[in-house]
Amino acid sequence: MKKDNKSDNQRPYKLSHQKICLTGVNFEKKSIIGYVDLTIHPLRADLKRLKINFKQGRIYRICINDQWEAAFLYNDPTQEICQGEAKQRNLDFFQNCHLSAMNAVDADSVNGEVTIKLPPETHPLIAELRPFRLCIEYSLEDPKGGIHFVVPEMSGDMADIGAHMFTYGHENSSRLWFPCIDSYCEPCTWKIEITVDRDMTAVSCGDLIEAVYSPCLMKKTFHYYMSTPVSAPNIAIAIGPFEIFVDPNMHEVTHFCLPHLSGILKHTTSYIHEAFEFYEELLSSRYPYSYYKQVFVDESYADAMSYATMTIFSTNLLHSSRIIDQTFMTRTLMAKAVAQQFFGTFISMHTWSDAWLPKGIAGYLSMLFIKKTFGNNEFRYVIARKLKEVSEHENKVGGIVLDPTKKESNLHFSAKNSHTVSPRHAAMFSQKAMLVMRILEFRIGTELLLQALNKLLSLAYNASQQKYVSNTWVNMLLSTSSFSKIISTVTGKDILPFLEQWVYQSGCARFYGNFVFNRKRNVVELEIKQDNSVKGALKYVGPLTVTIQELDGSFNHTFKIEENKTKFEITCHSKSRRNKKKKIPLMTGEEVDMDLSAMDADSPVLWLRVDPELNTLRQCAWEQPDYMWQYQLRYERDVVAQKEAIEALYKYGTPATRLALTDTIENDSCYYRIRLDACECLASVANSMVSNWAGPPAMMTIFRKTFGSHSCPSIIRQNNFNNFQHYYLLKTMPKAMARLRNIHNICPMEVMKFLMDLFKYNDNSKNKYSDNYYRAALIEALSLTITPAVATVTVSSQGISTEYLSADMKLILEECTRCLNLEKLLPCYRHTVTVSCIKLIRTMQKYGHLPNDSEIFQCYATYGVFRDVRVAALSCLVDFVRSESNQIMFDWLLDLVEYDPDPFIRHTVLMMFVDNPPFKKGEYSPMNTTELVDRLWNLMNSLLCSDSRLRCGVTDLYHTLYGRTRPFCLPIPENMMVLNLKQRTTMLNPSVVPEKLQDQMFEDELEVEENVKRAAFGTDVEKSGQKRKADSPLLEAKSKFESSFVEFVRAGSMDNSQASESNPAKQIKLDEEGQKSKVIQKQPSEAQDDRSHLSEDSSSPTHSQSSQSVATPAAQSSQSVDILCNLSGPSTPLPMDLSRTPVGTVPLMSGESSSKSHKSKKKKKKNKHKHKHKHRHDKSRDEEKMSKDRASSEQRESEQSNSNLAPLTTLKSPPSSPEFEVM
Amino acid sequence: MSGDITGPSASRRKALKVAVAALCSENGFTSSEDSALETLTELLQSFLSEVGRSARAYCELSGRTEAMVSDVAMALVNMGFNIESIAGHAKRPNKSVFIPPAQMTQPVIHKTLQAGERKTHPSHIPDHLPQFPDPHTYIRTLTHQQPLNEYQLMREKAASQKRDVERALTRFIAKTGNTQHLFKDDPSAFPLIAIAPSPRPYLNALLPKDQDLDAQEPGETYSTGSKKRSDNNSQGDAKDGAQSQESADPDAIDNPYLRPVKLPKKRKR
Repeated sequence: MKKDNKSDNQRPYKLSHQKICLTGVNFEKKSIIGYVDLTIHPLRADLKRLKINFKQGRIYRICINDQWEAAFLYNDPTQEICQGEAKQRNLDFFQNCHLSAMNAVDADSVNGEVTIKLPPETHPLIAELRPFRLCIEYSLEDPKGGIHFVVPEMSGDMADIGAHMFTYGHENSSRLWFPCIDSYCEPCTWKIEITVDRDMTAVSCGDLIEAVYSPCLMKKTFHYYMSTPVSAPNIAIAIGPFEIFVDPNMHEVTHFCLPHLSGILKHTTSYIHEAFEFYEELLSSRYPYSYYKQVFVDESYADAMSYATMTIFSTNLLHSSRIIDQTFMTRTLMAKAVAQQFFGTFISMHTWSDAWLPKGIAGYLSMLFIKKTFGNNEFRYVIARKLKEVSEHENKVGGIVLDPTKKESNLHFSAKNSHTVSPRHAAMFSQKAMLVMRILEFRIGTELLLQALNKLLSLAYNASQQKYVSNTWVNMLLSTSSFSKIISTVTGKDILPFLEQWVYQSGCARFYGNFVFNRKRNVVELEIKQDNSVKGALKYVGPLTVTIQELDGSFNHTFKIEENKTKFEITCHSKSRRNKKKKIPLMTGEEVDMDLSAMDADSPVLWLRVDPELNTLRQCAWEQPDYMWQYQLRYERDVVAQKEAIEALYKYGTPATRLALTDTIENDSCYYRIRLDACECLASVANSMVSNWAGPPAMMTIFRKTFGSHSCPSIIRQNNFNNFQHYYLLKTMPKAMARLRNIHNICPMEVMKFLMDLFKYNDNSKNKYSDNYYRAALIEALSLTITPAVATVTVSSQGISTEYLSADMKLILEECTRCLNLEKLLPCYRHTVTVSCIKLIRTMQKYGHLPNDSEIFQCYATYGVFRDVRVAALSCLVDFVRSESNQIMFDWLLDLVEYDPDPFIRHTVLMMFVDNPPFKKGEYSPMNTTELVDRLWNLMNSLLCSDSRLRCGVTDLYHTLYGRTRPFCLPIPENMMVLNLKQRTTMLNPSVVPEKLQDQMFEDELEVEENVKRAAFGTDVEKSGQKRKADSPLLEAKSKFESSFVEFVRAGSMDNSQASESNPAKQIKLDEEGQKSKVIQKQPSEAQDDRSHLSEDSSSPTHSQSSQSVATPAAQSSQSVDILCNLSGPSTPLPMDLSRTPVGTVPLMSGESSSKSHKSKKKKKKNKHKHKHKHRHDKSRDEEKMSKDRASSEQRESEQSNSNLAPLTTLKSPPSSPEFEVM
Repeated sequence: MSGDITGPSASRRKALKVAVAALCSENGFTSSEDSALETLTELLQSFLSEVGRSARAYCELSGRTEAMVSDVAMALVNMGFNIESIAGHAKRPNKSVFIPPAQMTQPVIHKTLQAGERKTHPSHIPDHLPQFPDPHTYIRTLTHQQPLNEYQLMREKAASQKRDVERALTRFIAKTGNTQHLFKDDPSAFPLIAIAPSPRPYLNALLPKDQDLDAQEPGETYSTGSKKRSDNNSQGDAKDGAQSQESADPDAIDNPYLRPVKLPKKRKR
């Protein structure tokens, strides 16, 4: 990869300006038509061809300087990842193909779907290195991704019904809607012209220069100009009948929303100027662009999508002044979007491996904003939560490498391309990047880090002001190396060790340990160990802070964590307990009185904390006695420490714990989230000490005291949410209390009555805030009270009916019915109550109080229902599928994944399946069928090619269901031996065309005497194909997507299929030349190896045995094929059957034939593969062979250019061996 | 006057009747018919009344409020009565003596019926005037047992009222429209109003209507009503907000989206 970067990343031309002109946007047909105009500066005099990214559209014409038409070729291997390969079906194989397909069109490695041959007329121009313009006329009709049209199903004018559209995409996906160089490292200036109906507004990046009516006055054209260089992935448009609201505090900020919503838009955006002021002051540099636009759209892809000068938000973020909960979320998101304007769009990543920098910096800046706006407690709490999420994710799924260039990850997908990463990984990636940036802040200091960021911004700003000169604009790109250079110039510090530790390496440190006080020596002896056996663990070496709270004060100690050292000592300052009445100084400097009776009389240690400032990415399981945790909860001022204490106290169900928690809940000066956590913990503690619990149910007294009315504490006061702390407590306490259980493990009567009274006496008439979240919380509380139904003898055929409902359940159900029905008439904000009711119904079904029925959820999950409600209903359905193993519903949901109009819903359903899979790997399930494997495989292989997030989501699901090996439900094919379980190498998508060959492509096609060579290959291919057929009839199963990559061709001159047909052949030739000799030499010994290898590798005994028995004959025959291939491969054409390779056929036909030939060619490669694998196995016994093999693979790699790096790395990384994988 | 059967007039009449009967007996009658006796009593009463009326008239004529003997004398004279005969009549030998009628005893008011201490008369009010009634009849007193907690009742009432309204409304809708059922076999139990997909689901979700119902008091309803109206207005305003702002101060805000759309240039045609 590194080598590739060096050699290939030099694009032989530069883009200086691009114009997008959308002349027609049709909402009825969901189509756009227009052209782009790229101004290109050649850097080499012999430039013959260009590569452009474009997908799923139709190119009408490509023109150079408006005079010369250029020939072009369209080849998109990503449309079908594993072409023609119908049998492999294991993820390791897919992962390889996926990465190579993505790299084959990745603009970062100077690739693209469209290859343009510059006509000879332009050659003199290029020889003088003069810039030229490349004009591409194109259209898109009903795109499957990249652009989303929201057209409500109503009659009326498009503007009146609120139809709108916007672009979206996962990372660099601009190619889905306009031809471009879809790379972050190719910034240029932009001119964007969009013609829309006169009632519509088009919002795009850059400055709106003017809007002009068309001559007929029916349309208007918006002219945007982006003077700051920006890369194509940061370009977006949104068109709709938007209501426009100019920010009264900052006139350069404009907000757009859908009709009827401007009232809440004004409130929602009222604070955004603060974010701008904060960042500008913090970074002491101005906002880099002249304008900023916020567009709120329906059915958005994500909550916020940042682009240059504009952000597309979900309209669901809008809220009125009556809403409390949403305000925090919306503000956080909006502030982050502003931070991304600085780092993300203005300064963007250089390549995907540098993505952690802009993501991390933007995340870090937005966290600073949170700190300023919501306070230090919130900040620390969120940091701790994110740290926990990241470490848990790494523990569960595997480590995240921020910069994946150096290290091969051991995941079921490749982290090296933005389009192959799993969506959950991507989310965690951003969080981890933010945390790492925060660690960097500790290492070099806040001031210096901000100075470095300021330096980056000012350099970029200066660069952006320059006219196009080659290489100035590079300053607007951020890479790991440039970043460390800037840091060292500004601070003089070398951050390479830091990068090595956290960026190039994956995982979190996992500490665990305890301590004892040694009275004789007056020292605390600590033992800190690391658990390196778990997934996603990192062997931490470096400083670690430990804070000890003694009677005489709080002291920090820094230890050096080394390889094998686990014991540490702290000498105590205080000599146990001398003067009892003295106040105890805390870390913060304040002195408090404590009741010290609980502690050990001999020890001066109150509590001890490891890494209190969260300076490392770590998980920490620390042991100390319960009274220390209680002291820590009561007296430590840091919310993270309090939270840790609460989590530890779950284990100690004692009256002392109860008291500490109760005091915390009642303590008004305590951070509210801690109080909420304490409520949850107290419920759990109360349950664990249920047999000797005295008094009313836990929290009842506190609740009455806090929220009961004066004259009658059992009735709740009229709602008044002015005190937000109390508001959150009010929402949480009923839920916590609903978790209480009595000795019979059901919810106590008093609590039920209490909850019902809350419903009854809820009165919001005098409140200035909406109580929708509170009501939703009450319903959630009801669902938490539900316990499994007493196993009634429901022998009757009709199953559960109303008669079996207990009195409590009847009450609950009545309440639920009433709330749900009322919601239809008087819906509340974001239908929170409906959401809770749906979940409640599902809970009742699950616990056997209601008959299991999916119909009701299905109704709520259909398109046209509000998104939150759909999501809730879908999660119920996913759960239903799991518990009932219902095939019909499963199919219905998969249909939704495939066809639903809302891209977010499609993604969400997948993620729900990943979290709550219908069956797990190895579990028996009637749904575990070949059809399901085929369906999922087709989805990820080809059907979801226009949305990487979805495609990778399916990959995740596939991984959850089947792991990385071949699904067991599939019949073992005859040629099993070919299906190498751990095939990480060489299996190339035939349409992934290596660089070198592509050079020859046009020549091949233009030269008419392409014939001999190609015909020879064709024949050879046919022949081997036939032989294979004899071996395995399965091969005849033809993928129906075979021809998908042959999208369209320019009539006449250019025949895509021919091109792709000829190229793999050549590629194979190259491959074979590299390996020929060795392969032939080793033939004889390999048959046995193969057998033994299979038994070693396959994951289950039955599997291996059966495969082994089948394998032997097949292996032999395929080897014979191999020999044949190798012999015939190099150059000597076998003069056979020229007529069978059509030269000038109709595109579709030739497409099919070509892919057939691919298939067979691949078979050859497959065989080769096997050899390689065998070599690998030999290696243990035969060092010499191994080195040879490596040599050969290296050779091959250099020849195959960009696509794969596997052979080397596989050899290097033992953990990825199949034995390890099968778990 | 004669209609009264009880009261002071009855006892007066009774006394008169005794007097008339005594006179008759003095004059030698041993028995008389009741009607005759009544007639004579009537005559006597009329005479006495006339004397009184006339004496009062004389007294008032001479500017006094309380009658004197002279006034009575004048009245008698005026009626043609021989005053001198009175003395003789008074000293007649066979004068019959009456036992004065027994004073009616005041009915004892039971303490139990009396609520509170009665007020005594202030000095300017003569004692013969009736006493003050029981205090509770003229000052505000707590006449009923106060419930332990009125607030509780009120909340209770408000809550159940609200609940009843909601229940009735939802039941009505559920009965008249499409429903979904939780129990297949028993569609009437817990009917749920069916969800209807809408073309623009976000509008209902983001512009909630749930707060109107909570406005229980009439005043509150008005205010929310007016607030709603103003909301509508503001929405209406917002639609042409751009224009209005623009017209307000076009120079103050320079934003390209507020600039008017240009007309096409001629040459473009």
